[in-house]
Amino acid sequence: MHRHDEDRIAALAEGHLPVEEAAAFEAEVASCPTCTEILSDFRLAIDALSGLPEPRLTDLERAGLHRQVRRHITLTKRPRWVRLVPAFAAAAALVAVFGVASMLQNQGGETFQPIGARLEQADTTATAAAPTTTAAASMGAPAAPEMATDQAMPAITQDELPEFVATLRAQEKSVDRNDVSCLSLVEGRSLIAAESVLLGGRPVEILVIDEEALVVDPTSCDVLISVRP
Amino acid sequence: MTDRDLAVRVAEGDADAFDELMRRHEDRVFAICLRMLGDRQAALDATQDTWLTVFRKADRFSGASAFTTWLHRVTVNTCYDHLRKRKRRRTDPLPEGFDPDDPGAEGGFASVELRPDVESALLRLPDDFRAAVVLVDLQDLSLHDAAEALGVPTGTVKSRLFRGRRLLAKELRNLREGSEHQKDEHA
Ligand SMILES: [Zn+2]
Repeated sequence: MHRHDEDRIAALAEGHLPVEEAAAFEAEVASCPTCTEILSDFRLAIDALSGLPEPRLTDLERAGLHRQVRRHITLTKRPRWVRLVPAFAAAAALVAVFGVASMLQNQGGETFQPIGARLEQADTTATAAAPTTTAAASMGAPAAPEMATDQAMPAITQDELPEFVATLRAQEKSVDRNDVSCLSLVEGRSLIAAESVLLGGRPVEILVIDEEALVVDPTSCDVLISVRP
Repeated sequence: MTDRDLAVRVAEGDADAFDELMRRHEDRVFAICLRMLGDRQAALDATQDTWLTVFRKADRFSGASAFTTWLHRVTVNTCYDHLRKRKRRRTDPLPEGFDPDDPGAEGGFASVELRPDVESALLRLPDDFRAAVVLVDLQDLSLHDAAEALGVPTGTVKSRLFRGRRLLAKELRNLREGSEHQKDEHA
């Protein structure tokens, strides 16, 4: 009783059978239309694929890739919050302009915690007054949120916000939802883009959803600003 | 230094080790992404996301398997994410004249790559079949390694590979017949 032996046909098509065995088996295959068809398909596919050039990054693409990846990864040893203290004044100005009361609900430490602060606190007993956490330690932590720094996070002003949102929307840059701190705000809606930025010096997360974009506090997930076109 | 040593250092936050790992394997990651996604911009995005994930999750690489096996897994999962996102986007109303079945419709690959018929055929395969074909027939992974990268049993990869090859052959014949037909019409 003949069995259509796909494994052996594959080995034949891949050139993995010893020469003599290959010749004998090829004759056997030729006597069965089904096996002949399988062999012909396998050979056609393998031949076609072997003719494909190995894709390589162009120099330009490679440079761009390195730049983008570096932009997203912190290589600094300084905890980020150190640079965020002066942002207080700018953020307060934002509140004045937009009148977002919730922004100050947790006035003090928590409102202005950097994105990674929860993690740093969980890892160590570091407080804002006595930072002991190094960037390296927080990078090793599981599921670390976006490891952004000044270099990594674009810094924009309020004036630039609408244009920045438009750019994010146009890019449709892929979003790793694991990196979004306030995913619950997006529930049931399609998240088009997300980016952590320093807005007037304050770290915020911009979530571009459908028609609107939310500027949120990544720690409390309070919506600070809603941007509509 | 081995990939594994480098990966351990990356988990400790060593940026130089990360750069070195990336230099060693970035073309491989890009190749898989391009074959899975079909256009260079999407492949670049997926390549970038893959490396960011490698950096963030390096501590989850246990060292029980080869680094490249883990890297392949991260890469393939990232590609699946991008494919899902693309499908979601395509359920939105499409601009006129946009053919959702045309894998080249997103643009970018036909003008850049050779052998567009093979690439078109590859992009027409179901994602799971394409992943098996890309890993085994293009990246030369063993069935065992491909199974680890895809997180499925070896038998499943083999079955997807065989069915993928056969579908690919049929797509190629269709595409070639189609273009012959066109030539005849123009003659
Ligand atoms: Zn047979």
